[in-house]
Amino acid sequence: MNNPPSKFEKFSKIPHEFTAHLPFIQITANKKIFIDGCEGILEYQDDIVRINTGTFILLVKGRRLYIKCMTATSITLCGYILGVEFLK
Amino acid sequence: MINKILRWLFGYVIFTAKGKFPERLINLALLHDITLIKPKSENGNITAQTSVHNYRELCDIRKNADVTMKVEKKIGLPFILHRNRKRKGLLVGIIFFVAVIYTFSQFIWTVDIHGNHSMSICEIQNTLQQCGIYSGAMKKDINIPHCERNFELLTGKIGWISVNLIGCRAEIEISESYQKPEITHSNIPANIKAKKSGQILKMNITQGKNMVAVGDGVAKGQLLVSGIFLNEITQTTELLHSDGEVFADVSEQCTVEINKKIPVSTFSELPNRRVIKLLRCKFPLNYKAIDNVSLRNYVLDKFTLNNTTLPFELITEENFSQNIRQITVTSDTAKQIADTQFTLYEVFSCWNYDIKDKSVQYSHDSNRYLFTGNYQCIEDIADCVEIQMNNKE
Repeated sequence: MNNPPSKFEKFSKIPHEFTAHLPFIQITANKKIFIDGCEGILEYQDDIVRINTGTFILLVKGRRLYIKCMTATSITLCGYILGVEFLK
Repeated sequence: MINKILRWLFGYVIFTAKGKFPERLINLALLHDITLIKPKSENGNITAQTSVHNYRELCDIRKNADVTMKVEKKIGLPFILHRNRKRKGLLVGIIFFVAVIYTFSQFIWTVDIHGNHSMSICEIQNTLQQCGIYSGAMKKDINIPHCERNFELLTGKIGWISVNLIGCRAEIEISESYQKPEITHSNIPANIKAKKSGQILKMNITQGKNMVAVGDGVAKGQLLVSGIFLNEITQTTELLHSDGEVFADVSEQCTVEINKKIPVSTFSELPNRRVIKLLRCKFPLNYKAIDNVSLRNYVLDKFTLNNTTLPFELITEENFSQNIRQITVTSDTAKQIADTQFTLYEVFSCWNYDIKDKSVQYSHDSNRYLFTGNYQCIEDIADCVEIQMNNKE
Protein backbone atom coordinates (compact mmCIF):
# COMPACT_ATOMS: atom_id res chain seq x y z
CA MET A 1 0.00 0.00 0.00
CA ASN A 2 2.98 2.23 0.69
CA ASN A 3 4.24 1.80 -2.87
CA PRO A 4 2.87 4.52 -5.11
CA PRO A 5 1.04 3.45 -8.29
CA SER A 6 3.41 2.72 -11.17
CA LYS A 7 3.28 4.46 -14.54
CA PHE A 8 1.75 1.37 -16.10
CA GLU A 9 -1.05 1.39 -13.51
CA LYS A 10 -1.69 5.05 -14.10
CA PHE A 11 -1.69 4.53 -17.84
CA SER A 12 -3.85 1.39 -17.88
CA LYS A 13 -6.15 2.70 -15.11
CA ILE A 14 -6.12 -0.71 -13.44
CA PRO A 15 -7.00 -0.27 -9.74
CA HIS A 16 -3.90 -0.23 -7.61
CA GLU A 17 -5.36 -2.91 -5.26
CA PHE A 18 -5.20 -5.53 -7.99
CA THR A 19 -1.54 -5.08 -8.82
CA ALA A 20 -0.07 -4.35 -5.40
CA HIS A 21 -0.25 -8.02 -4.25
CA LEU A 22 -2.26 -7.02 -1.22
CA PRO A 23 -4.63 -9.39 0.56
CA PHE A 24 -8.24 -9.17 -0.47
CA ILE A 25 -10.77 -9.56 2.36
CA GLN A 26 -14.48 -10.00 1.94
CA ILE A 27 -16.85 -10.18 4.91
CA THR A 28 -20.45 -11.37 4.54
CA ALA A 29 -22.43 -10.01 7.50
CA ASN A 30 -20.89 -11.52 10.62
CA LYS A 31 -21.10 -15.07 9.33
CA LYS A 32 -18.38 -15.50 6.75
CA ILE A 33 -14.99 -13.99 5.96
CA PHE A 34 -12.99 -14.71 2.83
CA ILE A 35 -9.31 -13.86 2.70
CA ASP A 36 -7.42 -14.06 -0.58
CA GLY A 37 -3.68 -13.77 -0.20
CA CYS A 38 -3.38 -15.87 2.91
CA GLU A 39 0.11 -17.27 3.56
CA GLY A 40 -0.71 -19.55 6.46
CA ILE A 41 -2.63 -20.07 9.65
CA LEU A 42 -0.88 -19.06 12.83
CA GLU A 43 -3.62 -19.97 15.28
CA TYR A 44 -6.77 -21.91 14.80
CA GLN A 45 -9.20 -22.14 17.68
CA ASP A 46 -12.91 -22.02 18.21
CA ASP A 47 -12.93 -18.37 19.16
CA ILE A 48 -9.74 -16.96 17.62
CA VAL A 49 -8.14 -17.47 14.23
CA ARG A 50 -4.92 -15.70 13.28
CA ILE A 51 -4.00 -15.63 9.63
CA ASN A 52 -0.70 -14.51 8.14
CA THR A 53 -1.21 -12.44 5.01
CA GLY A 54 2.44 -11.45 4.50
CA THR A 55 1.92 -7.73 5.05
CA PHE A 56 0.01 -8.09 8.32
CA ILE A 57 -1.62 -10.63 10.57
CA LEU A 58 -5.38 -10.79 10.54
CA LEU A 59 -7.02 -11.70 13.83
CA VAL A 60 -10.59 -12.93 13.61
CA LYS A 61 -12.51 -13.23 16.86
CA GLY A 62 -15.81 -15.01 17.15
CA ARG A 63 -17.69 -18.04 18.32
CA ARG A 64 -17.66 -21.49 16.75
CA LEU A 65 -15.28 -20.42 14.00
CA TYR A 66 -14.30 -23.06 11.49
CA ILE A 67 -12.52 -23.31 8.16
CA LYS A 68 -15.09 -23.75 5.43
CA CYS A 69 -12.65 -23.95 2.55
CA MET A 70 -8.93 -23.53 2.19
CA THR A 71 -6.47 -23.40 -0.68
CA ALA A 72 -2.76 -22.51 -0.84
CA THR A 73 -3.57 -18.78 -1.13
CA SER A 74 -7.08 -18.29 0.18
CA ILE A 75 -9.20 -19.24 3.13
CA THR A 76 -12.88 -18.95 4.02
CA LEU A 77 -13.87 -18.85 7.66
CA CYS A 78 -17.39 -19.30 8.89
CA GLY A 79 -19.02 -18.91 12.26
CA TYR A 80 -20.25 -16.04 14.42
CA ILE A 81 -17.68 -13.27 13.87
CA LEU A 82 -17.34 -10.78 16.68
CA GLY A 83 -14.37 -8.76 15.44
CA VAL A 84 -11.52 -8.43 13.00
CA GLU A 85 -8.18 -6.94 13.96
CA PHE A 86 -5.13 -6.10 11.87
CA LEU A 87 -1.87 -6.80 13.68
CA LYS A 88 1.65 -5.92 12.56
CA MET B 1 -23.37 -36.32 -2.16
CA ILE B 2 -21.24 -37.81 -4.94
CA ASN B 3 -18.16 -36.63 -3.07
CA LYS B 4 -19.34 -38.40 0.07
CA ILE B 5 -20.01 -41.63 -1.83
CA LEU B 6 -16.59 -41.51 -3.53
CA ARG B 7 -14.87 -40.82 -0.24
CA TRP B 8 -16.68 -43.75 1.36
CA LEU B 9 -15.76 -46.02 -1.56
CA PHE B 10 -12.05 -45.12 -1.38
CA GLY B 11 -12.00 -44.87 2.43
CA TYR B 12 -10.96 -42.02 4.69
CA VAL B 13 -9.70 -41.48 8.23
CA ILE B 14 -10.59 -38.99 10.94
CA PHE B 15 -7.45 -37.99 12.81
CA THR B 16 -6.38 -35.65 15.61
CA ALA B 17 -3.12 -33.68 15.52
CA LYS B 18 -1.68 -32.71 18.92
CA GLY B 19 1.26 -30.48 19.55
CA LYS B 20 2.43 -26.99 20.20
CA PHE B 21 1.44 -25.63 16.78
CA PRO B 22 -0.99 -27.98 15.10
CA GLU B 23 -1.95 -25.10 12.75
CA ARG B 24 1.42 -25.57 11.11
CA LEU B 25 0.30 -28.99 9.96
CA ILE B 26 -2.57 -27.38 8.01
CA ASN B 27 -0.15 -24.95 6.33
CA LEU B 28 2.27 -27.76 5.44
CA ALA B 29 -0.58 -29.90 4.13
CA LEU B 30 -1.61 -27.09 1.82
CA LEU B 31 1.94 -26.63 0.61
CA HIS B 32 2.19 -30.36 -0.16
CA ASP B 33 -1.19 -30.34 -1.90
CA ILE B 34 -2.84 -32.57 0.70
CA THR B 35 -6.58 -32.15 1.06
CA LEU B 36 -7.91 -31.82 4.58
CA ILE B 37 -11.67 -32.07 4.97
CA LYS B 38 -13.55 -30.35 7.80
CA PRO B 39 -10.56 -29.22 9.89
CA LYS B 40 -11.80 -28.36 13.37
CA SER B 41 -10.10 -26.99 16.41
CA GLU B 42 -10.85 -28.75 19.71
CA ASN B 43 -8.99 -27.89 22.91
CA GLY B 44 -5.90 -26.76 21.03
CA ASN B 45 -5.89 -29.87 18.84
CA ILE B 46 -6.88 -30.11 15.20
CA THR B 47 -9.31 -32.77 14.06
CA ALA B 48 -9.74 -33.35 10.31
CA GLN B 49 -10.59 -35.95 7.72
CA THR B 50 -8.36 -37.10 4.89
CA SER B 51 -7.97 -40.01 2.50
CA VAL B 52 -5.76 -42.96 3.40
CA HIS B 53 -3.16 -41.98 0.80
CA ASN B 54 -3.02 -38.38 2.04
CA TYR B 55 -2.80 -39.53 5.65
CA ARG B 56 0.41 -41.44 4.81
CA GLU B 57 1.87 -38.27 3.30
CA LEU B 58 0.79 -36.30 6.36
CA CYS B 59 2.67 -38.76 8.56
CA ASP B 60 5.83 -37.91 6.60
CA ILE B 61 5.47 -34.16 7.12
CA ARG B 62 4.18 -34.19 10.69
CA LYS B 63 7.77 -34.12 12.07
CA ASN B 64 8.28 -30.69 10.53
CA ALA B 65 5.15 -29.46 12.29
CA ASP B 66 6.22 -31.10 15.55
CA VAL B 67 2.85 -32.70 16.18
CA THR B 68 1.69 -36.19 17.03
CA MET B 69 -1.13 -37.69 15.02
CA LYS B 70 -3.68 -40.25 16.04
CA VAL B 71 -6.32 -41.93 13.93
CA GLU B 72 -9.72 -41.58 15.63
CA LYS B 73 -11.88 -43.44 13.13
CA LYS B 74 -11.48 -45.35 9.89
CA ILE B 75 -14.45 -45.05 7.58
CA GLY B 76 -15.14 -46.55 4.14
CA LEU B 77 -15.43 -49.68 2.07
CA PRO B 78 -11.72 -50.69 2.09
CA PHE B 79 -11.77 -50.84 5.90
CA ILE B 80 -14.98 -52.89 5.97
CA LEU B 81 -13.49 -55.34 3.46
CA HIS B 82 -10.26 -55.50 5.43
CA ARG B 83 -12.12 -56.17 8.69
CA ASN B 84 -14.09 -59.02 7.07
CA ARG B 85 -11.30 -60.48 4.93
CA LYS B 86 -11.37 -63.79 6.81
CA ARG B 87 -15.15 -64.26 6.48
CA LYS B 88 -15.36 -66.23 3.26
CA GLY B 89 -19.11 -66.76 3.60
CA LEU B 90 -19.71 -63.04 3.37
CA LEU B 91 -17.81 -62.89 0.10
CA VAL B 92 -19.76 -65.86 -1.24
CA GLY B 93 -22.99 -64.18 -0.12
CA ILE B 94 -22.09 -60.92 -1.87
CA ILE B 95 -21.20 -62.78 -5.08
CA PHE B 96 -24.43 -64.79 -4.86
CA PHE B 97 -26.46 -61.64 -4.25
CA VAL B 98 -24.91 -59.86 -7.24
CA ALA B 99 -25.47 -62.96 -9.41
CA VAL B 100 -29.13 -63.24 -8.35
CA ILE B 101 -29.77 -59.54 -8.96
CA TYR B 102 -28.07 -59.73 -12.36
CA THR B 103 -30.00 -62.87 -13.38
CA PHE B 104 -33.35 -61.51 -12.25
CA SER B 105 -32.76 -58.18 -13.96
CA GLN B 106 -32.70 -60.02 -17.30
CA PHE B 107 -36.41 -60.87 -17.02
CA ILE B 108 -39.67 -58.95 -17.00
CA TRP B 109 -41.15 -58.99 -13.51
CA THR B 110 -44.46 -57.26 -14.08
CA VAL B 111 -46.60 -56.05 -16.97
CA ASP B 112 -48.55 -52.86 -16.27
CA ILE B 113 -51.34 -51.96 -18.67
CA HIS B 114 -52.77 -48.46 -18.99
CA GLY B 115 -55.31 -46.80 -21.25
CA ASN B 116 -57.75 -49.68 -21.87
CA HIS B 117 -61.47 -48.97 -21.62
CA SER B 118 -63.47 -51.62 -23.43
CA MET B 119 -60.80 -54.35 -23.63
CA SER B 120 -60.28 -56.31 -20.43
CA ILE B 121 -56.88 -56.61 -18.76
CA CYS B 122 -57.11 -60.41 -19.08
CA GLU B 123 -57.73 -60.20 -22.84
CA ILE B 124 -54.79 -57.81 -23.27
CA GLN B 125 -52.52 -59.98 -21.13
CA ASN B 126 -53.38 -63.07 -23.18
CA THR B 127 -52.66 -61.26 -26.45
CA LEU B 128 -49.43 -59.83 -25.05
CA GLN B 129 -48.37 -63.33 -24.05
CA GLN B 130 -48.85 -64.43 -27.66
CA CYS B 131 -46.60 -61.51 -28.66
CA GLY B 132 -43.94 -62.59 -26.15
CA ILE B 133 -44.52 -60.03 -23.39
CA TYR B 134 -45.37 -61.67 -20.10
CA SER B 135 -44.12 -61.90 -16.57
CA GLY B 136 -40.97 -64.05 -16.77
CA ALA B 137 -40.04 -63.30 -20.39
CA MET B 138 -36.41 -62.49 -21.14
CA LYS B 139 -35.96 -58.83 -21.94
CA LYS B 140 -33.36 -59.38 -24.64
CA ASP B 141 -35.72 -61.71 -26.57
CA ILE B 142 -38.39 -59.03 -26.92
CA ASN B 143 -38.51 -57.27 -30.23
CA ILE B 144 -40.63 -54.27 -29.25
CA PRO B 145 -41.65 -52.97 -32.73
CA HIS B 146 -42.53 -56.53 -33.78
CA CYS B 147 -44.60 -57.08 -30.62
CA GLU B 148 -46.44 -53.78 -31.08
CA ARG B 149 -47.28 -54.62 -34.68
CA ASN B 150 -48.38 -58.17 -33.80
CA PHE B 151 -50.58 -56.91 -30.99
CA GLU B 152 -52.34 -54.50 -33.33
CA LEU B 153 -52.91 -57.27 -35.86
CA LEU B 154 -54.15 -59.78 -33.29
CA THR B 155 -56.65 -57.50 -31.57
CA GLY B 156 -57.64 -55.18 -34.41
CA LYS B 157 -59.39 -52.92 -31.92
CA ILE B 158 -56.65 -50.53 -30.93
CA GLY B 159 -55.42 -47.25 -32.34
CA TRP B 160 -51.86 -47.57 -31.12
CA ILE B 161 -49.82 -49.41 -28.53
CA SER B 162 -46.55 -48.45 -26.91
CA VAL B 163 -44.40 -50.99 -25.06
CA ASN B 164 -41.88 -49.43 -22.66
CA LEU B 165 -39.39 -51.58 -20.81
CA ILE B 166 -38.51 -49.67 -17.62
CA GLY B 167 -36.09 -51.71 -15.58
CA CYS B 168 -37.83 -55.03 -15.03
CA ARG B 169 -41.28 -53.59 -15.64
CA ALA B 170 -43.06 -53.63 -19.00
CA GLU B 171 -45.37 -50.66 -19.23
CA ILE B 172 -48.03 -50.98 -21.91
CA GLU B 173 -49.81 -47.84 -23.07
CA ILE B 174 -52.86 -48.54 -25.19
CA SER B 175 -55.20 -46.25 -27.06
CA GLU B 176 -58.31 -48.02 -28.23
CA SER B 177 -59.77 -47.15 -31.60
CA TYR B 178 -63.31 -45.82 -31.78
CA GLN B 179 -65.97 -48.18 -33.05
CA LYS B 180 -67.59 -47.00 -36.25
CA PRO B 181 -71.18 -46.08 -35.43
CA GLU B 182 -73.96 -47.87 -37.26
CA ILE B 183 -75.19 -45.62 -40.03
CA THR B 184 -78.92 -45.61 -40.65
CA HIS B 185 -79.78 -44.80 -44.22
CA SER B 186 -82.78 -42.54 -43.83
CA ASN B 187 -83.35 -42.24 -47.59
CA ILE B 188 -83.89 -45.96 -48.29
CA PRO B 189 -87.59 -46.65 -49.00
CA ALA B 190 -89.14 -48.46 -46.06
CA ASN B 191 -92.49 -49.41 -44.49
CA ILE B 192 -93.32 -49.64 -40.82
CA LYS B 193 -94.72 -52.97 -39.71
CA ALA B 194 -95.94 -54.21 -36.33
CA LYS B 195 -93.40 -56.07 -34.18
CA LYS B 196 -96.14 -57.48 -31.96
CA SER B 197 -99.89 -57.86 -31.86
CA GLY B 198 -101.85 -55.30 -29.84
CA GLN B 199 -104.15 -52.30 -29.81
CA ILE B 200 -102.78 -48.97 -31.03
CA LEU B 201 -102.87 -46.18 -28.45
CA LYS B 202 -100.76 -43.45 -29.98
CA MET B 203 -99.04 -42.74 -33.33
CA ASN B 204 -96.28 -40.23 -34.01
CA ILE B 205 -95.60 -40.55 -37.73
CA THR B 206 -93.09 -38.12 -39.22
CA GLN B 207 -92.97 -39.64 -42.72
CA GLY B 208 -95.16 -42.10 -44.61
CA LYS B 209 -98.82 -42.87 -45.09
CA ASN B 210 -100.85 -44.18 -42.11
CA MET B 211 -102.52 -47.50 -42.86
CA VAL B 212 -104.10 -47.92 -39.41
CA ALA B 213 -105.66 -45.57 -36.88
CA VAL B 214 -105.52 -45.14 -33.10
CA GLY B 215 -107.78 -47.74 -31.44
CA ASP B 216 -107.26 -50.35 -34.16
CA GLY B 217 -106.14 -53.82 -33.25
CA VAL B 218 -103.12 -54.98 -35.21
CA ALA B 219 -101.47 -58.36 -35.73
CA LYS B 220 -97.77 -59.07 -35.76
CA GLY B 221 -96.28 -58.20 -39.17
CA GLN B 222 -99.21 -55.99 -40.22
CA LEU B 223 -98.39 -52.88 -42.28
CA LEU B 224 -98.79 -49.78 -40.11
CA VAL B 225 -97.22 -47.05 -42.21
CA SER B 226 -96.64 -47.33 -45.91
CA GLY B 227 -93.66 -45.84 -47.72
CA ILE B 228 -95.46 -46.00 -51.11
CA PHE B 229 -97.88 -43.27 -51.98
CA LEU B 230 -99.44 -41.79 -55.05
CA ASN B 231 -98.70 -38.16 -55.82
CA GLU B 232 -102.05 -36.86 -57.06
CA ILE B 233 -100.55 -33.77 -58.72
CA THR B 234 -97.97 -35.54 -60.84
CA GLN B 235 -99.89 -38.85 -60.92
CA THR B 236 -96.69 -40.77 -60.09
CA THR B 237 -95.92 -43.30 -57.41
CA GLU B 238 -93.25 -42.14 -54.93
CA LEU B 239 -91.26 -44.14 -52.46
CA LEU B 240 -90.48 -42.80 -48.98
CA HIS B 241 -88.57 -43.87 -45.92
CA SER B 242 -91.34 -44.21 -43.35
CA ASP B 243 -90.41 -42.98 -39.92
CA GLY B 244 -92.24 -42.68 -36.63
CA GLU B 245 -93.39 -44.32 -33.40
CA VAL B 246 -96.45 -46.47 -32.90
CA PHE B 247 -97.36 -47.18 -29.29
CA ALA B 248 -99.67 -50.08 -28.65
CA ASP B 249 -101.15 -51.96 -25.76
CA VAL B 250 -99.53 -55.41 -25.95
CA SER B 251 -99.71 -58.53 -23.83
CA GLU B 252 -96.54 -60.24 -22.59
CA GLN B 253 -96.29 -63.53 -20.80
CA CYS B 254 -93.52 -64.97 -18.65
CA THR B 255 -93.56 -68.48 -17.23
CA VAL B 256 -91.48 -69.68 -14.31
CA GLU B 257 -91.22 -73.39 -13.55
CA ILE B 258 -89.84 -74.54 -10.23
CA ASN B 259 -89.32 -78.21 -9.45
CA LYS B 260 -90.59 -79.41 -6.10
CA LYS B 261 -87.33 -81.23 -5.46
CA ILE B 262 -84.17 -79.41 -6.46
CA PRO B 263 -80.54 -80.43 -6.02
CA VAL B 264 -78.48 -78.25 -3.68
CA SER B 265 -74.71 -78.37 -3.62
CA THR B 266 -72.74 -77.90 -0.43
CA PHE B 267 -68.98 -77.59 -0.43
CA SER B 268 -66.68 -78.85 2.28
CA GLU B 269 -63.14 -77.56 2.52
CA LEU B 270 -60.19 -79.85 1.84
CA PRO B 271 -56.55 -79.07 2.73
CA ASN B 272 -54.96 -76.24 0.74
CA ARG B 273 -51.75 -76.49 -1.26
CA ARG B 274 -49.28 -73.71 -1.89
CA VAL B 275 -46.94 -73.07 -4.79
CA ILE B 276 -44.32 -70.36 -5.17
CA LYS B 277 -44.07 -69.06 -8.71
CA LEU B 278 -40.73 -67.52 -9.51
CA LEU B 279 -40.97 -65.93 -12.95
CA ARG B 280 -41.87 -68.95 -15.08
CA CYS B 281 -40.87 -71.67 -12.59
CA LYS B 282 -43.23 -73.12 -10.00
CA PHE B 283 -41.97 -74.61 -6.74
CA PRO B 284 -44.58 -76.57 -4.73
CA LEU B 285 -44.49 -76.14 -0.97
CA ASN B 286 -46.82 -79.08 -0.27
CA TYR B 287 -46.52 -82.46 -1.89
CA LYS B 288 -49.58 -84.16 -0.38
CA ALA B 289 -52.11 -85.67 -2.75
CA ILE B 290 -55.71 -84.60 -2.29
CA ASP B 291 -58.55 -86.85 -3.46
CA ASN B 292 -62.21 -86.19 -4.26
CA VAL B 293 -61.64 -82.61 -5.34
CA SER B 294 -64.70 -81.19 -7.07
CA LEU B 295 -63.72 -77.53 -7.14
CA ARG B 296 -60.38 -75.80 -7.16
CA ASN B 297 -59.93 -72.12 -6.41
CA TYR B 298 -56.58 -70.42 -6.98
CA VAL B 299 -55.66 -67.37 -4.90
CA LEU B 300 -52.75 -65.33 -6.16
CA ASP B 301 -50.73 -63.21 -3.71
CA LYS B 302 -48.25 -60.77 -5.15
CA PHE B 303 -45.55 -59.09 -3.11
CA THR B 304 -44.57 -55.48 -3.54
CA LEU B 305 -41.68 -53.43 -2.23
CA ASN B 306 -41.74 -49.66 -2.65
CA ASN B 307 -44.55 -49.93 -5.23
CA THR B 308 -42.48 -52.43 -7.23
CA THR B 309 -43.99 -55.86 -7.73
CA LEU B 310 -41.45 -58.54 -6.90
CA PRO B 311 -40.91 -61.42 -9.37
CA PHE B 312 -42.35 -64.12 -7.14
CA GLU B 313 -45.95 -64.87 -6.24
CA LEU B 314 -47.62 -67.23 -3.83
CA ILE B 315 -50.38 -69.34 -5.35
CA THR B 316 -52.74 -70.97 -2.86
CA GLU B 317 -54.81 -73.82 -4.22
CA GLU B 318 -58.04 -74.04 -2.24
CA ASN B 319 -59.71 -77.43 -2.69
CA PHE B 320 -63.34 -78.24 -2.08
CA SER B 321 -65.40 -81.39 -2.34
CA GLN B 322 -68.99 -81.10 -3.54
CA ASN B 323 -71.92 -82.84 -1.84
CA ILE B 324 -75.24 -82.79 -3.65
CA ARG B 325 -78.49 -83.37 -1.81
CA GLN B 326 -82.13 -83.01 -2.79
CA ILE B 327 -84.30 -80.53 -0.91
CA THR B 328 -88.06 -80.12 -1.10
CA VAL B 329 -89.24 -76.65 -2.05
CA THR B 330 -92.31 -75.38 -0.20
CA SER B 331 -94.93 -73.27 -1.97
CA ASP B 332 -93.84 -70.11 -0.06
CA THR B 333 -90.23 -70.58 -1.12
CA ALA B 334 -91.36 -71.24 -4.69
CA LYS B 335 -93.35 -67.97 -4.65
CA GLN B 336 -90.30 -66.07 -3.44
CA ILE B 337 -88.16 -67.62 -6.19
CA ALA B 338 -90.82 -66.83 -8.79
CA ASP B 339 -91.08 -63.20 -7.57
CA THR B 340 -87.32 -62.84 -7.98
CA GLN B 341 -87.50 -64.31 -11.49
CA PHE B 342 -90.33 -61.95 -12.46
CA THR B 343 -88.42 -58.95 -11.11
CA LEU B 344 -85.38 -59.97 -13.14
CA TYR B 345 -87.58 -60.39 -16.21
CA GLU B 346 -89.07 -56.90 -15.72
CA VAL B 347 -85.65 -55.32 -15.24
CA PHE B 348 -83.77 -57.02 -18.07
CA SER B 349 -86.43 -57.99 -20.64
CA CYS B 350 -89.05 -55.25 -20.24
CA TRP B 351 -86.69 -52.31 -19.73
CA ASN B 352 -88.20 -50.40 -22.69
CA TYR B 353 -91.85 -51.18 -21.88
CA ASP B 354 -94.25 -49.27 -19.72
CA ILE B 355 -95.96 -51.98 -17.62
CA LYS B 356 -99.59 -51.06 -17.01
CA ASP B 357 -100.84 -54.19 -15.32
CA LYS B 358 -99.42 -57.44 -14.00
CA SER B 359 -101.15 -60.61 -12.81
CA VAL B 360 -99.60 -63.90 -11.72
CA GLN B 361 -101.35 -67.24 -12.05
CA TYR B 362 -100.25 -70.11 -9.85
CA SER B 363 -100.68 -73.83 -10.45
CA HIS B 364 -98.84 -76.98 -9.44
CA ASP B 365 -98.71 -80.66 -10.18
CA SER B 366 -96.92 -83.56 -8.51
CA ASN B 367 -93.43 -82.50 -9.69
CA ARG B 368 -93.41 -78.77 -10.11
CA TYR B 369 -94.83 -75.35 -9.37
CA LEU B 370 -95.87 -73.26 -12.36
CA PHE B 371 -96.14 -69.47 -12.22
CA THR B 372 -97.42 -67.51 -15.23
CA GLY B 373 -97.00 -63.75 -15.24
CA ASN B 374 -99.32 -61.82 -17.59
CA TYR B 375 -98.24 -58.28 -18.34
CA GLN B 376 -100.16 -55.50 -20.07
CA CYS B 377 -97.55 -53.12 -21.48
CA ILE B 378 -97.35 -50.04 -23.64
CA GLU B 379 -94.64 -50.56 -26.20
CA ASP B 380 -93.37 -49.00 -29.42
CA ILE B 381 -94.22 -51.72 -31.94
CA ALA B 382 -92.93 -49.86 -34.99
CA ASP B 383 -90.48 -51.95 -37.01
CA CYS B 384 -88.87 -50.25 -40.01
CA VAL B 385 -88.73 -52.73 -42.91
CA GLU B 386 -86.95 -51.90 -46.15
CA ILE B 387 -89.07 -52.10 -49.32
CA GLN B 388 -87.52 -54.76 -51.53
CA MET B 389 -87.58 -53.92 -55.22
CA ASN B 390 -86.59 -55.98 -58.25
CA ASN B 391 -85.42 -53.77 -61.08
CA LYS B 392 -86.40 -55.82 -64.13
CA GLU B 393 -86.38 -54.11 -67.49
